[in-house]
Amino acid sequence: MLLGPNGSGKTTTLNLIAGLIRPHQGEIFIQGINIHQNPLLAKRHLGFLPEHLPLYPELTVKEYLQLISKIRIIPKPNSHEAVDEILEALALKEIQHHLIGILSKGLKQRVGLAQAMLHNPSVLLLDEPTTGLDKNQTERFVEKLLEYKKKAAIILSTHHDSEMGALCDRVIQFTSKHKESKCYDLDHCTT
Amino acid sequence: MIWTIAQHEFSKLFKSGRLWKLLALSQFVLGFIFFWLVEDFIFKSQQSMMGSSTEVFGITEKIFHPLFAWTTLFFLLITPLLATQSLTQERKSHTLENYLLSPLSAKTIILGKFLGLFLTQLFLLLPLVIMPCLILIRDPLDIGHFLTGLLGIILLLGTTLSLGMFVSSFAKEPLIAGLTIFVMFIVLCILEGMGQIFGHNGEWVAEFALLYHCKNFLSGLINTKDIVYYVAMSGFFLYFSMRRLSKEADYRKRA
Repeated sequence: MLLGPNGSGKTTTLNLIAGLIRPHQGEIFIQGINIHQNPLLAKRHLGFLPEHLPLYPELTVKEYLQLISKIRIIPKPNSHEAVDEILEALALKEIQHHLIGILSKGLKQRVGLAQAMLHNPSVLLLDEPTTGLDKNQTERFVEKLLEYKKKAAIILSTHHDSEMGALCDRVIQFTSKHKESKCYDLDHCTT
Repeated sequence: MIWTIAQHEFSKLFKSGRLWKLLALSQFVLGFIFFWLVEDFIFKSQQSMMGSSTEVFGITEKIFHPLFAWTTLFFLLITPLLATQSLTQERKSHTLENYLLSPLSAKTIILGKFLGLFLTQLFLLLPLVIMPCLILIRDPLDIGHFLTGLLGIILLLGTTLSLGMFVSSFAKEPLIAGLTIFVMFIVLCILEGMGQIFGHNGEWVAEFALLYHCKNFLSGLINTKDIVYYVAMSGFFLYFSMRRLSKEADYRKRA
């Protein structure tokens, strides 16, 4: 978990890992693949829920996920299955034919998470995933992530650790003053 | 994959309702000009029959030649609207991330978006194809001349769209992108006039003008040089759009 106040560099770090920004120095490897040298291969292993959800308001939930399954190059026989599975897993089946533009913030966040998890990435990046969600929605969100954590690495950013504490094994604390980061294990973080 | 992106671009405009508005506008503008030209043609042919005019003219020349010229102008005005949708608008609404996070090359993304918007332009051009059918009901038409003019317009649309996509590939604000594309169109159009100022020596400047190469097509002539110009210009701008998109991560760092 990347923890820190606004402006401390959490989103930038996630964007760097996702290959959306090129680092000044250093290298980033996803499953042993350098994201900036071989981005097309590395991105197959990566799922990202950005701070600003990349949703098309004029599409329905299912249409959007079908599009994502195509552009993430999920093989055709599996793509329908993958969409149905993720709709089921994130309890989006009932609203699959609803336009994204009319959904509530919480539902949009779930659709955003669905697009990030659709291709079963081994690394899942989540930028402030619980922003705008109420307590119940957050709890359900964390439940889904706890399930997913069994098969993938999850890196998430938040500016308060209370709700996502159950999810993380390691915390990297960002401080805005000196732009430094400190790494804690979970016990230290929660005390 | 190119086709998937193209389909999405096309259907996105349909579903958002923007395409219907543009289609209504093109139908109204081109229809109005068409009927105005037909009325003028009928008036002149009546004068000719009464002997008050000795001018000899044909339907294709008197109706479709000016109609094509108006169509060109109309599309120069609406292409910036379409082109800014391709990348600038997506960048602003953060939906470009869908593509940037996917294992797709910049080439695939740009070609897919180009194809989708090009199909949109062709769809908007549909009223122009329906109009000769109305004439054909009663009078013969020089189909060859008509199709050549149509080919010229299609090639011009492809070029203007690729230029628009190039601007859209680096612009951050849709309004700025639209204005820049429009200004570039104007500059590329006035090159012809600038070339004429320099007389014979300035002919090569006129060769770069957008509409200069369309004239032959509108007159019913197919010149390989004109086709090469439009294809080369489209390829040039698409190539640089791909280059820019593949470097998106570098530019985001500087933002």
